[in-house]
Amino acid sequence: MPSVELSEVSKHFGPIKALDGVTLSFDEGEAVAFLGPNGAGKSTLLKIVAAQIMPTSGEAKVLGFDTVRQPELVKRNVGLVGHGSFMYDELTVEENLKFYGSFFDVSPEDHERVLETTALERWRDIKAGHLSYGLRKRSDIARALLSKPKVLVLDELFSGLDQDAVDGLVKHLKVRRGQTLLVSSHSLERVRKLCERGVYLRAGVVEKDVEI
Amino acid sequence: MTDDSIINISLRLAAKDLVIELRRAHEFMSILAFALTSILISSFAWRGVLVLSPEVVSSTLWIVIYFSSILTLTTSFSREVDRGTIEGLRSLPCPSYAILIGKMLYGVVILFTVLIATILSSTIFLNIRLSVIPNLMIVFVVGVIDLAIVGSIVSAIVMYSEGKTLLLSFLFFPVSVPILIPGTQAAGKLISGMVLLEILPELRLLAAFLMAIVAISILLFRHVFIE
Repeated sequence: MPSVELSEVSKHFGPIKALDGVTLSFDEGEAVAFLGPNGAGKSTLLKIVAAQIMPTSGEAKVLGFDTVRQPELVKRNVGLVGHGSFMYDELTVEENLKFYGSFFDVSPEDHERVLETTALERWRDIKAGHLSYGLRKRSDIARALLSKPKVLVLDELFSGLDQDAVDGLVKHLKVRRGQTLLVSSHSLERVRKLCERGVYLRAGVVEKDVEI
Repeated sequence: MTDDSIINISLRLAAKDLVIELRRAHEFMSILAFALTSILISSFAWRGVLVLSPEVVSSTLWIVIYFSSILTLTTSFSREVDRGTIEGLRSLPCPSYAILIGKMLYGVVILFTVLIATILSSTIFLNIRLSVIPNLMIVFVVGVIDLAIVGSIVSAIVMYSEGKTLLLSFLFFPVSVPILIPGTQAAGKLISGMVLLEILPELRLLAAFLMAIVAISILLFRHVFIE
């Protein structure tokens, strides 16, 4: 069974077709990059996979769970890092992780593990509002990794980050254990280090689905 | 935890909002300051009048509570949208109405604190008799829960709109009328010396509205929350 399966998925925002009949499937452990210009439908597709938005038509399944009918089961298995940060400025990194982790079956060891994996131990007691953009992104990845998700969805992961931060993130993400990784990006160069498959989207349709 | 009850989830969400509110205490303090200065200014206007009209005192208290709830609940959901954390809430594996209940609980706690400060200060500045306070609290607690629920759902409805603060103020009033009419009448009657049994019709109305608005909010919220 594929880890993620999209069949004839369309999403319309009023007259705009953000996705138009997209059919794709991804196996367990596969790392896939979604590439394409602004407005190609990359973020919309990832949001549908993460059960953040509902498709207008078609069906999206994660580990066999339907994103519309079983969103809670989907969310339990998907770790999402969005465009913006989900961290609360007034809470420390650790408090943010504890808050989000409390909705999953997360042990104190898991907290330590993600802080170590993302090299955030030094910053655990710092309020998220005081973190730099790169550290904030890392703490968002820590949050997404906390629940040991089977599918990791990273929307525009590398945007706004310098090369060192990109290399650091790639290093952390390379050590994933059997997780399916879905990453959107404008830059092929940056995702090539992380992904083996590239799906090119343009105007809501799949233009190319190739090895990268 | 995987087998969490809705109430546990909602309590955690409310606790998170309260911690954030306390760490940014200036907003909460400004609501408290508004409530207290309103009572004080009213007392200046009625200086020298020993026995105030119960209707006037009742309406003053409700005006303070009503505007405090606007100040509290305007930002309830819109702050999450403005900071992008709404997507974080949306990514949580829980029923969407648990998030609404969390926001309602947060609103109730904040408004309850404002209510206590308002009622206590009105015993000093508006000459409300201490013996009236317990019964008055019953009316206001039910009213505050009603307002927190109405405010939370209206805040959710307008969270993606431009000019949400203005929209909330306009939408909040018509939906609050079924709270404000029995609420002001019941409080007026209690201040004038009537007993709790005599305001049962108004209390029933407030309780019935509470049940109706909870049911409507839960049914409506999923459609509001999912983008």
